[in-house]
Amino acid sequence: MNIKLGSIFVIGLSATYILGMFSTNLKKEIVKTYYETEYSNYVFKCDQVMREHFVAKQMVATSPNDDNVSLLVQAEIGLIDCQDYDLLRKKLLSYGLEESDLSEMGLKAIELKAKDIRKVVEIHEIRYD
Amino acid sequence: MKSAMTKIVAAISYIFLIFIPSVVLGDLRTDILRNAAKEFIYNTVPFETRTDVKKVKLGEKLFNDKNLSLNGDIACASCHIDKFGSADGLPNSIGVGGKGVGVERIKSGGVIVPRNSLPLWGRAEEDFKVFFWDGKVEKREDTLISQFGRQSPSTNPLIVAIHLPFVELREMIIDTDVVNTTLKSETVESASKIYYTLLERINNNQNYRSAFIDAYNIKPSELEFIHIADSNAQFIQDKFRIRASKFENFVTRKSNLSSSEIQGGLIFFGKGKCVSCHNGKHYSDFEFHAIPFPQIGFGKNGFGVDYGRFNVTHDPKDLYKFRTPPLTNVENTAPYGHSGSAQTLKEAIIYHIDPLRLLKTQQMSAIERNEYYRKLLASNNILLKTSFLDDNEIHQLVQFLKTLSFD
Ligand code: HEC
Ligand code: HEC
Repeated sequence: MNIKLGSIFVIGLSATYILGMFSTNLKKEIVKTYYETEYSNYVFKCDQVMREHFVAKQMVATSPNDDNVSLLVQAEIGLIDCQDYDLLRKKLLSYGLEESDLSEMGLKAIELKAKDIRKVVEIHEIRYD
Repeated sequence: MKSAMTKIVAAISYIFLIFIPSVVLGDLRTDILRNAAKEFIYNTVPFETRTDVKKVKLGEKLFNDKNLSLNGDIACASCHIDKFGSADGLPNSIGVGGKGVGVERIKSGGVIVPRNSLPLWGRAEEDFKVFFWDGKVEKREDTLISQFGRQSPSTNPLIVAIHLPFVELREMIIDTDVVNTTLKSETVESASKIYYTLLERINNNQNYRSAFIDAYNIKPSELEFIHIADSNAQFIQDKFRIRASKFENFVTRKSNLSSSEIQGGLIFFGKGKCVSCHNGKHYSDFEFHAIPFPQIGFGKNGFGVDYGRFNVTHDPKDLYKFRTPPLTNVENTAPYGHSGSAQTLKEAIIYHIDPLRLLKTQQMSAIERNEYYRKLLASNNILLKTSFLDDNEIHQLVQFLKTLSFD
């Protein structure tokens, strides 16, 4: 995240707090909008490395050899991306978002991919009726 | 009043919440990276270099001496240049007839050697055992394998490798009619004729002759071509020894890396799976893999084809495979790949994971595309292994690769 933008955001957030004129809902929406892209990026990355970690584990299970063990170690290092995701989740919770807000943001991230399908359907004017 | 206080405290803790995790996480990342380096890179005992000053001096002179090419006007230093990290800055090397460096050299009309010049860092170390893009000189379990067969001039693979440029057509010899009829076979016999002629030149040069006799403590009649090759090896050992890179200094806690370098390192050891091939102190497993780098230039097999390792083993499993190149000082040795088809580190990385992105398939001929499909299929290993990486991650990887340099 851009440090300058980040600090403006933090100062803005604290200022509104101190002035005590902040509605919880408005604040939530601002936080959600601000973090939407970053969050969906982490959702994607964490999902990707978890899938790959699972495949790497299965590789060791089905053909245990040094190369596959080494690849599993590398896949484990790759899981660091989930740490980023986890920390961002905690940060957002501390900003007052709830689990349900995070689930909504996660769903939105998945939707981004689903939108591709809609586009294809639209472009090719596929009709199902 | 009390509630205002709580709000101020809350505000301050928000500020901390943003910064503290990045500090804590920073440490975690640093630790993971240092441990990975110890597991995959610095996992051998450091190697002690011993060189003899007199031999090194002689080797240096020979490295720069054009008289040591049979009928050309070229020295080792024409293609292994300091400015380009001991490679030559060209996609394909320009051999005999070439003048100058860089673009000037391309325009000078010398003959083209269909491979990208390799740098010489660490080539004299004990654990450096496989030489050239296709591994045509290698030491496996104490057996030396090369085109010299049982008549190998030495059991040291570098010394054997140094024998080759002198006798390689185009590289240091022009193929004139005489060369064509007497030497072209690239056999051991024709090679020994060339070594003999070059040795005569040294023998006829009083300065060289006495310097060799002094440095090797031999009788005049004992001077052989192996002494020439050995002094060259001593020079390479001395000049191109591996020193502590920025990354090594980070691992030994002598200095820090930026967060994007660390991030790049974690991709190198983690989801990029780079370290599965680029491992050990030289960042090479000394094995052979196919990576979908496009071919440029004529190619070792002609008409834009280079079968790589297959040329040495004739095993179809080895088609399009090349030795994993070491990455020491890699930022200075552009262009990249066996035919120099990647201009930048970023391109070199993209050719590993997403080659179609850079390939102008519409501009390729049907034959070129057909050839490329074969290479792509041979590259299943790399394409199945590495993760998707976004541009920011590729940039971080490049930043990391630049920490493998030393001054
Ligand atoms: C015409 C340019 C040219 C000249 C002259 C030249 N080289 Fe090279 N050198 C290359 C190229 C190109 C390669 C890679 C060839 C290949 O792998 O097929 C190479 C590879 C090498 C390697 C192998 C490095 C590795 O990583 O395996 C060594 C060692 C070497 N050269 C030493 C020398 C020495 C010593 C001389 C002088 C006797 C010399 N070269 C002269 C272009 C040149
Ligand atoms: C399957 C083994 C393998 C993996 C995994 C791999 N590489 Fe490579 N790499 C190679 C081989 C082999 C070449 C040379 C291919 C050629 O020239 O045709 C190469 C070439 C390179 C080069 C060019 C070096 C030069 O001097 O020309 C760079 C840079 C590089 N790799 C970096 C990486 C990075 C970064 C990663 C991780 C994203 C990676 N590699 C993953 C085997 C591998």
